[in-house]
Amino acid sequence: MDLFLTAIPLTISFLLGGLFLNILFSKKEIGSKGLFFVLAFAVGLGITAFISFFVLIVSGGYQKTLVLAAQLILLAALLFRQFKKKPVTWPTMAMHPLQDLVMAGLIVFLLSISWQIAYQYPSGGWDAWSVWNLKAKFIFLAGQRWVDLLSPKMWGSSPHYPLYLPLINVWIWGFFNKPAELTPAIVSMLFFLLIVLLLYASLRRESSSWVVLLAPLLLLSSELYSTLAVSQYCDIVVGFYLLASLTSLWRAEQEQSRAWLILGCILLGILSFTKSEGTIAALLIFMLMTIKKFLAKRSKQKFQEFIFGAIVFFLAALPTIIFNLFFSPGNQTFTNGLQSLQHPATFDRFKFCIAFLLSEMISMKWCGLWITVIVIGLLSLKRGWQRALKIFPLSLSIYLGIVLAYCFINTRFEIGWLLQVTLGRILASLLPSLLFWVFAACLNGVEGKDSKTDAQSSKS
Amino acid sequence: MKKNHLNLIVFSLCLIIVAINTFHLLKQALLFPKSTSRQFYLLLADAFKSFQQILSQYDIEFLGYYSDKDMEKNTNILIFSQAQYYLAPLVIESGNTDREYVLFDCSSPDVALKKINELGATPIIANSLGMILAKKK
Repeated sequence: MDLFLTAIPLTISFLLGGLFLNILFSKKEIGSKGLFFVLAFAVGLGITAFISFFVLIVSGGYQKTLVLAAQLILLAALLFRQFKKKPVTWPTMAMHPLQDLVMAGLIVFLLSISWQIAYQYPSGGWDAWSVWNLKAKFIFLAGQRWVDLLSPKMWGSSPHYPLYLPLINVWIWGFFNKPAELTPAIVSMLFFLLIVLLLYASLRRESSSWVVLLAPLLLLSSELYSTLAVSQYCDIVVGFYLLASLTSLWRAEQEQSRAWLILGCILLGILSFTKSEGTIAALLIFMLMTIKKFLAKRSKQKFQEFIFGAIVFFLAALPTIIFNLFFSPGNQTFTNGLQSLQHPATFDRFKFCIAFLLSEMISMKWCGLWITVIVIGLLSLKRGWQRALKIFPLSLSIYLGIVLAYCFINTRFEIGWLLQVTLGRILASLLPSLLFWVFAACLNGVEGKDSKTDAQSSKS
Repeated sequence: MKKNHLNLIVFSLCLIIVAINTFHLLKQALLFPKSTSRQFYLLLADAFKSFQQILSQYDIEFLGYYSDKDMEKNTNILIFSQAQYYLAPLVIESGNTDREYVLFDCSSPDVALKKINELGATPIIANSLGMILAKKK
């Protein structure tokens, strides 16, 4: 019964996303059913969070009937448009069903073990009950007093964090009529499934090699990654949207596709609403895109495309903008070590940050994941820095640098503790995108396509 | 490096890592039934149920919280944040005893009762963790 009640709202979100994608893309553009399935969820859940947030702020409290009605109306409108103007088209069948079948079996097997881990922690990890699920409970139960969760008194629950994940949990709770404990666990399992499927489907779109199977398996078989993924934290969501937006923007560049550009910008907007780190990552990726556009040969068409992308990003990021401008009390746990005389950011602190990062990466708790990423990255270094793929290493390394700089400057906390509770999760959210990058770089298809794009651009 | 060689190296390296990690994960999975984590968290959830039932009858927004324990210690912070989670949407204010209802999490019941008397409050209910909910007159 619980699973059935969880499935209804998730199906509505999925249908919304699927129909939206069907408007955006032609039949062949997405390339595989797996990718369509994952991206439909990515966009659909984003639409749900978008609507929920506006209902929350306009009506002064969460109104489950209103949220449901708004989504059903939108769903009906999209369905009407589809059947009137364009028949529903599904992506063509995958060309390597054996690989897909093996992958599906392995995913089910390894996710069942992850479910065992999730089962050990009924209310999730520490930050799940003290931040994410607590916010969801406030939104769901407090009515108009939901804003209490943004009070500086609640500094322990990071009131400045955006509300994407709590709003998804609340959307499902609406069907239970109570804050069902199983929901956040199911949502985190769903995102774990989506992230491995996205990694697999994105690589499979580029290559038919069996090597592709190993990238998601590296994530699924790692005990630490699985634990972090099912701990009901938002970092798995950040990791998912980071990978989804980067791969979409990369495809937009590679295939000169406006549909992928729009999707990439929408996903960037959703990424910004997941967590403060997500906001930074989204702004950074958008900034890098802007710089790239201005450095490239200017043409009227490219400039128009950039403006179009910027508008889409702005619209998709509206919840983040409104939340940060009018609701967020700001970071309550920040002491600027560059200005503070009592808690200065010293050179020793800086050295500690770097040493901690290096020791974390070679630590055996990651089950060799980082060592593998580094080795493959070094082996395919040249290809990894080719034109279109450059967005991955550039944005991910600058993002990691910004997070480290924040830990260095924010002297409110003892550095050892701060890095211990922060860095692991940040690295976990970067892993899927990094795995995509190193695998894409070493697979044949990508090199061919990239060289082709390079050749095309030099001709033009 | 030739593409085929590169693929072979990557394939072998990843296969080894995946095989070792899967074996390790399976070994851990066999230990899960013996884990006490779930029981511990269910016990905590149960401990706050009685408070939840009583507090939901009153129209209050804030709840005071008093503890003589070291609030820098992880265990004590864990109890506080679990209380906040289970009693949401009440806002629990650590160290504030000025509210009408105050939750006492003390090192012993004697210490808690002494503080309750000092504040002129009346104990309402205690839970299995030894925490006491009191109402000020």
